[in-house]
Order: sequence, then structure tokens, then C-alpha cells
Amino acid sequence: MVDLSIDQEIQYVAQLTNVKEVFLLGAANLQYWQEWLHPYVLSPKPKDGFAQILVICSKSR
Amino acid sequence: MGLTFSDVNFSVILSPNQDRFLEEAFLIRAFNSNRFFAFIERNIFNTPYLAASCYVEMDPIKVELKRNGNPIFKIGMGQDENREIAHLNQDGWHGMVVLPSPKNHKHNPFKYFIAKIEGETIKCNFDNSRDSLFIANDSNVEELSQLIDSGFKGKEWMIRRSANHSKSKSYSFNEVASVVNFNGSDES
Repeated sequence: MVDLSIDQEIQYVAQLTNVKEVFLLGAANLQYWQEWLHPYVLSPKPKDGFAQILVICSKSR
Repeated sequence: MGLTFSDVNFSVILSPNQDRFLEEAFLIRAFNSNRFFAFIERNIFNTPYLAASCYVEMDPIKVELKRNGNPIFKIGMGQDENREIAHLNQDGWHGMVVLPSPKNHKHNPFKYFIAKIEGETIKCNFDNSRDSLFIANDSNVEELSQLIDSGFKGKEWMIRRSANHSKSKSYSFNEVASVVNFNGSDES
């Protein structure tokens, strides 16, 4: 759950409105991304046995 | 600002390793159609941006990423009046974006930024029989090759025709820890 109170603490340096955007949430091999992230001491959040990859495509004016 | 630009970025959703309030994602690669913005992102904000031709069209949904004139990534939503669609008044993503270490020094301390995206949203499943996904296997972009190697497949579309985007400055871990209440306790 997002704690919206932190918004008051965050310095947003870029704010855009009226952005047209396409998210594509995809699935990929979990073990592959576990190994890829291992040196960073991070791990992918699995869903249905897959890593979740998010592609964000946007057009701003 | 009156300047039109497009942006395509790729992230791995992370399992938070502490009881943090925010979602987390690791930004593996990003592209911006504006060469100056890509330069600023890369050099000022430490984000993994490259300049590229990015085309984002909404009617119909179509995205194309080109480098040196060659398509390296394309997605498209096929037209289907019978597609099951969920309309959400306000939805989005609010989380911490983890940035790769500079120059791929994997043990350097991370940088983070906070991103907030919100707006009226349409969601629907990626339909393999109608929708399209193309990743060039000769893009010379390592991260796109990694998507191919890991068998990346589309699962769900989320479309916002008028979203609000906010992005923080880049923080070190200690800085972001002082902003985001990692343990969920009220310390004020």
C-alpha cells in the first residue's frame, strides 16, 4: 500500500500532465532474472512462476 | 513546455526486501526521442537512457522503437471490439525505481528515484492471436537481447490517455531511506 504522506517529503523535479501512455506488463523466465539481479542483492517479484517485466511507453507534450 | 517527446523504458518488478510502502522496480534500459533529454537523464540523473526514435500512437495502440533507422522493439494492440476491457477511474504506479550502478559496477551503491503515474486507466489482457510484440535480435542493445533470452511475453495492457507523471530527483540509499518510511512505523 502506498503511503501518500511521503509525497510531502519527496522532491519531485519533473511533473507532466496529459501524458499519453501504454504499459505492457510482461512475463519472463524467473530464474534468468533472479540470476541477473543476484549481484545487486535484489530479486524479481514473481507472479505465476514468472518474473514481471514492465514496459512503459509514453508521449508527452 | 510545448515540446513533444516520447519515452520507452523497461523495468523488472522487484520483490521488496524490507517492509516498504512502495512498489519497487529496477530500470534496466530507457530510451527518449529527445537526444538532449536522454543526455540529461544519463548524466545528471544517472538513469540508463539512450536516444532513439520512439513512436507512441494511441489510435490504434502502436509503439515502435528505432535506432539508426532500424526497428528494435515494436508492440501493437490488435483491433477487437469483443475484447474484455476493465475501466478504472484512477490507477497507476507509485514506487521506487532502482537505477543500475554507473558503468555497470554492480557493487557500487544504487541510486533511486520515486515515480508516480496516475490517471484513468483501461486494462486488458495481451492477446497473442491479435496483439504483436517484436524485439530485434540484432539490436546491439544488451538489455533487449536479455528480454529475448528470458522469453519475454506480453501479458497485460494498461492504457492511459491523459496521465499525470511525477519524478523525483535521484537519491542515494540513505537519502531515500530518510524520505520513505521503510518499516511502516510512524516516526513523526
